[in-house]
Amino acid sequence: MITLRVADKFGRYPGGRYEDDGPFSGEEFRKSILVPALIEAQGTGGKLVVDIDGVIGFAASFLEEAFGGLVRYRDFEAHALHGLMEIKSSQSRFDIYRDAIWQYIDEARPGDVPAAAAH
Amino acid sequence: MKIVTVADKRRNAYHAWKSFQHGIHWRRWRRAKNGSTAHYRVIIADDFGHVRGRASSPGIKCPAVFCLDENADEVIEFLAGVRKRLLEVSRTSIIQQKAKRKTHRHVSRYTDFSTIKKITPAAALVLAAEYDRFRRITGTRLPAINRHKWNVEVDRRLGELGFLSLLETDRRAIAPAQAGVHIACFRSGAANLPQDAGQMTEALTTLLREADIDPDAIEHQLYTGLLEAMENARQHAYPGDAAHDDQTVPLWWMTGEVDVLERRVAIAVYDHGVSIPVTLPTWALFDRVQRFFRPVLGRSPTVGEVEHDGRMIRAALSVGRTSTGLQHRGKGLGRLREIVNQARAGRLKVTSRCGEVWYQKGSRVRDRTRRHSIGGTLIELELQL
Repeated sequence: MITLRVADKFGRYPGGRYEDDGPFSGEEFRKSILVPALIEAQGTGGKLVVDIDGVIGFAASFLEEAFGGLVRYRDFEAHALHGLMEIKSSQSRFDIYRDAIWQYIDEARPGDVPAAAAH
Repeated sequence: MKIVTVADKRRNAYHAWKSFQHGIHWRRWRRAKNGSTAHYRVIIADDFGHVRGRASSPGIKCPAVFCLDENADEVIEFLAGVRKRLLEVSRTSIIQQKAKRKTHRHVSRYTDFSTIKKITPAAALVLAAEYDRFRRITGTRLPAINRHKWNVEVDRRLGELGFLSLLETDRRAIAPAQAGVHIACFRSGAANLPQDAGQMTEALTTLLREADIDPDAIEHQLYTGLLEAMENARQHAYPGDAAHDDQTVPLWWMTGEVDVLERRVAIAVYDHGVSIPVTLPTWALFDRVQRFFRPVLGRSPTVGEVEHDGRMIRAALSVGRTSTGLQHRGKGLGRLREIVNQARAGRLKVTSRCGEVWYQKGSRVRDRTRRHSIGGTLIELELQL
């Protein structure tokens, strides 16, 4: 089992959706941290635990781009992520973020990306 | 030695009076010839102090209650007038502007802030955004006129907000803060959302901690609310295909307020963008929004039909789609509504062009459309601790 603590590995202040929105974007998190961690977990046959404690808060667009983007950019399939990844938080008020992440993963459609990114 | 008689004195006084009257008549004749018929004595402030000057007209009076809740129609109409005047002045070349104000002793028109008796942070933010846009376009600041007549509490609030930094004003100290109520200095920007949202969140939570109030329960809601509102401005307010002129300043402005006594925190984010009703029809999933209108109109409203702005924003809040046409976008406004639901009590208000939508926890979403445009989009979020 591999644990990815977002506040330590990425930062306490996640930003917007795209890298153009500024640092600590969902796009940056997915490309540079989340995808490599999932590939590593997949290679070891274990699970990736994403710990969201310590972060100040998440914008919906950050979570959708970071986690929904895994499906939309065809990095992973939604059903595979349910077995490969776990979202963890010790604070009950962060349950909304955990629920939102799985909602975005389940609702994401493969290939539903901006035209520039599709090419 | 010449003896001055009483008759001499009377004659001298008469001639002096005649000369004085002649001078008055001549000055009146000159003013009438130049088109100005009256002069008003004012105190014009600049960064080095203040001078006695004159204005060609009485000041344009501000609404006494400068609040977008209690007096929205009058304030929005007034702000539309301010926007129009500032944009007209900004079209004048900078050299002409500085030549006119060379002596700092005469102004043609000015806004009289002394009539404001009460001002709220959200309304003050929109006012500050107009003056900040003028400053960015022209590189100059307008002088503060008759600041000594401004209401003390209004002066303090505008000073805390940072509005006075947008004017040339004397360096008179701002009155000490009213017990328990603090306004965070406004910020503006275009990118680097996490840093700006983080700094504003820290400023507000620091004020709460100083009053022995634990902000942990709402810290993430404040940060998320700011991010969502700022992202809405960044992603949708200034689309690349919209007709922007050289007076468009593609930024957002934000501020916050803490009321320790009422245990209330509020944030406001404003942009000068094209507005939600303008971008909605370009959404690929606009058909879901159209369902709100077909029962009433039998058709979809057009961009120019401002009378449906309130309903358009309400539809955007409910459907939660955006202009990119991608189904995964547009969760920001809906997310703001969820933030209100998570708090002990709260309110969300979105004002865009002529439309206004507000949602209070435990009640349903309401909308209305006003006569004048707010000139962009204003998002206000209020949370109760």
